[in-house]
Amino acid sequence: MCLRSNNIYAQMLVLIVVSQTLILIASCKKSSPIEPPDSPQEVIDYNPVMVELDYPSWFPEMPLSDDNPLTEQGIALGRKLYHEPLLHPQASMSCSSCHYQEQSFTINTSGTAVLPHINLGWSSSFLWNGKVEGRLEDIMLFEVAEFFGTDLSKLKNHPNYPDLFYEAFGDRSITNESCAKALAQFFRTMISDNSRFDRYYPGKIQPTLAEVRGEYIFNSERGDCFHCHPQPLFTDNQFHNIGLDSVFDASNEGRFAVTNNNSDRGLFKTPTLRNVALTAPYMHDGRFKTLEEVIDHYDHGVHSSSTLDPMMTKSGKLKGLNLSQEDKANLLAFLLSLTDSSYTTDSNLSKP
Amino acid sequence: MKIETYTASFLVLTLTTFLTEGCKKESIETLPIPVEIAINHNVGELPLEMDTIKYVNAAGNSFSVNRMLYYVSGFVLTEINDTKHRMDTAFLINAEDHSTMSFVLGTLPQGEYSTISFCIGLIPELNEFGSLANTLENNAMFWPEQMGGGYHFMKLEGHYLDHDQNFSGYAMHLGTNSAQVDITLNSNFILDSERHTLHLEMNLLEWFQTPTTYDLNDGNYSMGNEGLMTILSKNGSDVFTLE
Repeated sequence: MCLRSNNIYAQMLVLIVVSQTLILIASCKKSSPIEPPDSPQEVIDYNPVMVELDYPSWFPEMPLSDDNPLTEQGIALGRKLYHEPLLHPQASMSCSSCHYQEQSFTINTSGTAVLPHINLGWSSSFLWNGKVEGRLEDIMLFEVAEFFGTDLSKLKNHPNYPDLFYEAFGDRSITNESCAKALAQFFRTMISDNSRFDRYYPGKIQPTLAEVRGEYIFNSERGDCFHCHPQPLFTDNQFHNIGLDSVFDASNEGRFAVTNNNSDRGLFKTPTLRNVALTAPYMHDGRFKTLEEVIDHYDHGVHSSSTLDPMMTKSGKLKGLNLSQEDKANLLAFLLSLTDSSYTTDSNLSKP
Repeated sequence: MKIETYTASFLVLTLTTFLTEGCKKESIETLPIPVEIAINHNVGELPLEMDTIKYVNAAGNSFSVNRMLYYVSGFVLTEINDTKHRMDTAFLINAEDHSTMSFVLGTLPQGEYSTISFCIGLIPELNEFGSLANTLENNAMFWPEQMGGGYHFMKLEGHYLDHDQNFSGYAMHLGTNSAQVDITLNSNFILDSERHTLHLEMNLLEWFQTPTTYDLNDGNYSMGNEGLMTILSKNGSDVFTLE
């Protein structure tokens, strides 16, 4: 009995020793510096750094999204995605493939003109006909899910992206929505506010005489440009028929394609004039190759129609603004003063 | 002696209770209440419908309305005892956006009032560009410095059929301090917890009539046209009625 007891105690002792040894081995294995971590969760912090945008106080307040606060990590991820060909299902094309920074994030091409990516943080309707309305997150979701039709597995299986999404959003599961959020954050930082106009308007530098005279034409009834292109964004973010055509079909129906409202035939979104010298060709179909041609259109090329914007029916406009060659040169000088080369060379926006 | 003390204490207590209750009742009756303004837009007898040439003005022009934006500011509500309550806030109304067509004007004492006055446009202290909240909506109402500065007071735009029945457009814009449209509505009304919304109705036909019948063929664009802005400003003084 006693022996049996002793045997039992001996067996128990052996068991304890063996189990303790196993535990020790197991714990040593876990903390071994040689072994790689079981998963990256243990080495990457989710500690996003909040970012506050910096733009002139005389700019309107940019609408932000409560559910997508700006962070260093989110913006950096958005920037990487903007230049990432993996967004395309064949990994052949990124946003920046058609939006060159040196051209103010557009491309000089034929066919439908590519709208430049500049100051879109203040927009609430996107694309020429406003097909997508809402926040930047909405248009980015459209771009990722519909325009590109991104194969998310390419990002999920990428060695870096799951970590980058974790750093930005605290979640490794990459979705169309999280891609859109990151891109939206980056777009909010794509701010142009350092043109000559931005420096002479608050009195930091002296404008040239031609710029002053051109601004007078722009901001008066002489040219009447300001109604659709109010400073400082130089767009009203609305839709107008500016008299390019008098007959409409599928190629030029504009906003009508979205609303099916006859009064919207031939209406297109007002593009910003910031960096306009870099964003040729002009109009939704790129019909004008130069700014001189654009000015000539407003001067004597407006076509009447039932949807022609009332602002374009001022007798002077429809029958001709009668700008002199000097007026046109001055207006052009003003438009050139909206060029912001620091935007087109900003390393924070370029491919990382 | 004891009974007298008790009686006095009882009286004091009763009096205090009455006084307290009385004060309570008075403070509930005079407690200020938030007063709302709700604006409705009509064209004559017809409700405003955008983008349709279905209205005819006093000069016989068939016209439509494509855009109707305007500020109201400088509200003064006058009680029947002539106490005036001023409110400095400005409100931007977009006739296409219902969310802008009603707003809380401010907190006012309950009671009977005799007059509500305000202006279409901005009172001079607000009509300096940058004095309003820096929103996209306010920014789009920018009135260039070289044309007087500040903000557009109103943008009334649309199409009309000219003398030859050709399709044309008009843009009746108001701006600069001299074009402020003063509105005074003398009508007794009560503000209390049951009645705290004032319903205003704008009849857009009035912009083109009384005192001056305006023919759009005589000028379809008011900005930079002082004479036309003056006509509009005077015609506009009776566009509102208090329902």
